[in-house]
Amino acid sequence: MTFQLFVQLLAAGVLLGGVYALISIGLTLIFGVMRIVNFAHGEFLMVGMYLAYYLVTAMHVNPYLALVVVAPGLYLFGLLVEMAIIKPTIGKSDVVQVFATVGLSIVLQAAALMAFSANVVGLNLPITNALIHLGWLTIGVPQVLAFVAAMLVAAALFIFLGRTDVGRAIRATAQDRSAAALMGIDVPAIYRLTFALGSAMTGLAGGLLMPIYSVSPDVGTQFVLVAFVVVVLGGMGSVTGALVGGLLIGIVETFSGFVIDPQWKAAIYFVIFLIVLVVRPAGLFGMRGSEEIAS
Amino acid sequence: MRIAKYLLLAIAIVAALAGPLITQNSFLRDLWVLVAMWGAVATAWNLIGGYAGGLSLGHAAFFGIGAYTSSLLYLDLHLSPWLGAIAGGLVAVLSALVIGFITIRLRGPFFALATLAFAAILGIAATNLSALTHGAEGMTIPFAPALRNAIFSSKVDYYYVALALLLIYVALTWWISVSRFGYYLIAIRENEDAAQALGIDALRVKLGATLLSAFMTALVGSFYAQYRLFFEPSIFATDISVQIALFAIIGGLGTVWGPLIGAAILVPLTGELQSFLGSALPGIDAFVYGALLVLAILFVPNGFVSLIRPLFAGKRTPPATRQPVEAEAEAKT
Amino acid sequence: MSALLQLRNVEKRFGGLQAVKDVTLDVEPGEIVGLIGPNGAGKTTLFSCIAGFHRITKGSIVFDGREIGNRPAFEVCRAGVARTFQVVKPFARMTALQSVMVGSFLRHRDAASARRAALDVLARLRMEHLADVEAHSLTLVLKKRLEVARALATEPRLLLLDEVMAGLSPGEVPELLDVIRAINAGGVTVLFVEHIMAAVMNIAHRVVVLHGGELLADGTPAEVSRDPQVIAAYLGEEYAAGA
Repeated sequence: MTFQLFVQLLAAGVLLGGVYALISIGLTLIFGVMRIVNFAHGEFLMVGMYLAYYLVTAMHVNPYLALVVVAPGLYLFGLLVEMAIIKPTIGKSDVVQVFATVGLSIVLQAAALMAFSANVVGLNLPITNALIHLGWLTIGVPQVLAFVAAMLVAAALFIFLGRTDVGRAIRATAQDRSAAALMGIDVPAIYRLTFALGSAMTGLAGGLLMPIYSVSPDVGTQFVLVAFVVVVLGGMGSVTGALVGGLLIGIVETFSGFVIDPQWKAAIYFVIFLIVLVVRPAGLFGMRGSEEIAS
Repeated sequence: MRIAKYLLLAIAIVAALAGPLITQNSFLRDLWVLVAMWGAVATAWNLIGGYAGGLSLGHAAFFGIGAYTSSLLYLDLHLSPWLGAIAGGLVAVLSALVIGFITIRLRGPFFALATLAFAAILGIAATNLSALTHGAEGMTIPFAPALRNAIFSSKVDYYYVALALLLIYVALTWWISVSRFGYYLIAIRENEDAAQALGIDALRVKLGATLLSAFMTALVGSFYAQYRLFFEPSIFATDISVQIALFAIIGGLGTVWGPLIGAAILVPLTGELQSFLGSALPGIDAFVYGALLVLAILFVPNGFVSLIRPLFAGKRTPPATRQPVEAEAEAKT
Repeated sequence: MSALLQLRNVEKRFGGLQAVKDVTLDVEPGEIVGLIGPNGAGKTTLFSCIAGFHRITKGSIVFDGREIGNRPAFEVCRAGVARTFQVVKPFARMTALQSVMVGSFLRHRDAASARRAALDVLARLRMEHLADVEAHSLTLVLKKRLEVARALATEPRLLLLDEVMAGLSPGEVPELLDVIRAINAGGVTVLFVEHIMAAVMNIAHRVVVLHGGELLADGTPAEVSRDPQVIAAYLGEEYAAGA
């Protein structure tokens, strides 16, 4: 492998990793605070992508301007889902929590199928095809924007969680929900906010992915498994973990896709996933034992 | 109450034995076979998912292993699928041993994710090891009806094979539920620490349930291959694992009859939804199905068995002893 | 005759925190030993070390001539040591009888004899009338008693009771003391943690005081309650004046 090829692959891997980090932050935030694994996470991403697609194609909005609508739209969507489906499952058994969101994912996929048919559609605009040439290194503009956005979102989340009163209340709830309640924190309100916020980030991710990938009703299933791998690798509930995990998986995927048959690359990260679960189920940045708290 | 119970049981037995004979309609006969078949798989899943509380989302792995093993042995080595099914069961046990060691310590959603990943890896392998599995084009078994080939020209014959498996599984589950193994599984589900403190080797007991469940699931996978005579790597898909789990959950987790009841409700429901709504607008059938599932999970979390059970609860828990204790509990805690 | 349970220099660290320091203790067969000490003294941690729920960082725990330190909990139970939990861990959706059967299955393989043994244990705990009540609907006091029943059903030689009297009204204490005495009379050695001092002084043959993870005193109830160190650390001046 030449040096140039190595750098090219590394750049592609890092950019892909940024995308993976972006789609995982919402999932890990929701898990960290509410101890709920949202099995419909991929469908939230799908909803965000379709919303962006609709705004761009039907209303001729710039795909990046569309984010201004997509993120708040998904915030609202998350709020409604939390109140209708998630809230009634809080404190219930794992079965109820897991399968309520599994059922939701079936509903959302079916709804998308009804609304948009099974066709795979994508955007084809000057900006979605734009490339940056740095000497012999070539990278796509949408990829760079998605990567930058991932970093900004993570940074904004850090500041929000660390510096604001609401953010501190969220962190307190994540650590111990009953102690937080005793301190006067409105835990149900924090849950609602967290779920909506996580959904908004996932919507943002969907909007940023739309210029890069095509969308179809089952697009979520492709991404959700990667998001699970990233979140488990980084540590459930850790935003830093989602960033690092996303980058690692992106790089591994790019290089393994070059070395072995790309058909097998998904198997590679599932194997990584299982290894992490065996060796360190708390992930790279997770609290030890966090994998058991959910029970 | 007792009489009602036996009467209902008698009606159920007659219906189960005669069911597919009363119709010539191929679609309806297919439904009978599918209810018995998915009922059997869900009953197998229930051992680990319901009794031991391990929420597996990877049972399609064992189902697919059964289908591939018996079919490959039949097509390549001309081994009778009856024996091939046993071989498939053993391969499933071996794979369950491997995945069991990895996942058995994980709890709740983590166990679900790990089992899901396991089935996904097998699906990728089945797609890409084309020399062995014929890859994405799938496995086709030539139609050669013979008892030895486990291929029949009538769906009724298939039905009785599936029914036999189902009845054996239900009987086995009943026997487990009243024996030490069953008590241990439930104790581990309810509180693993407390179970350990009472001398239960929780990992070993759970692993035992996983192996048994894998074997049972694989047998039905072989049956499925001989019944459909065609399958693809999508047999390992998460959808199938989710379906299997849902039958048991909707029917009633950790109960003897729940998984069968769940299959008896959901299999015809999906079939009907597809045939009546599916053609009107693609997706509406799945939408209704998914919405009903969410409602059932939220409002009937203990499954439909919990709605029927009061009919039979004649003498088990006399309300007279129960009420005061509950009242006391509320007063003191 | 050698002790049933021998703790030698047992130490348990959680990272930088030394929860149990160099504890050496013998429990003789047939004894009822009370383990007391202020909150955070390491009593429950010591129980968990003996029962195999915590790994010990130093020392040895020998039960009936066999090393049980750092053995898994289920093995310790099979060897003949059963425990209850301070924070109850009920099998919520099992009835009281079924919960106790989980314990009695250890020595009785078939369901019929496990059931008989479990009913017998429930009778000894005076809760046979609750056999068909699901564990989650029992009061906390009864849940604690059900823990004792479950543990006893494994037919242990040593029973570790962790604050089973907490929450009892003063009128209810003597009844449970009778039950424990009867268990002891049946040949089961008892080591218990308790905060109700009257109960400890009433029933214990011997009292061991733990303070800051260390063994502070070991003697008859009368000796311990006169020990100036114990009074200063735990019992308080008031108690000394009363005694």
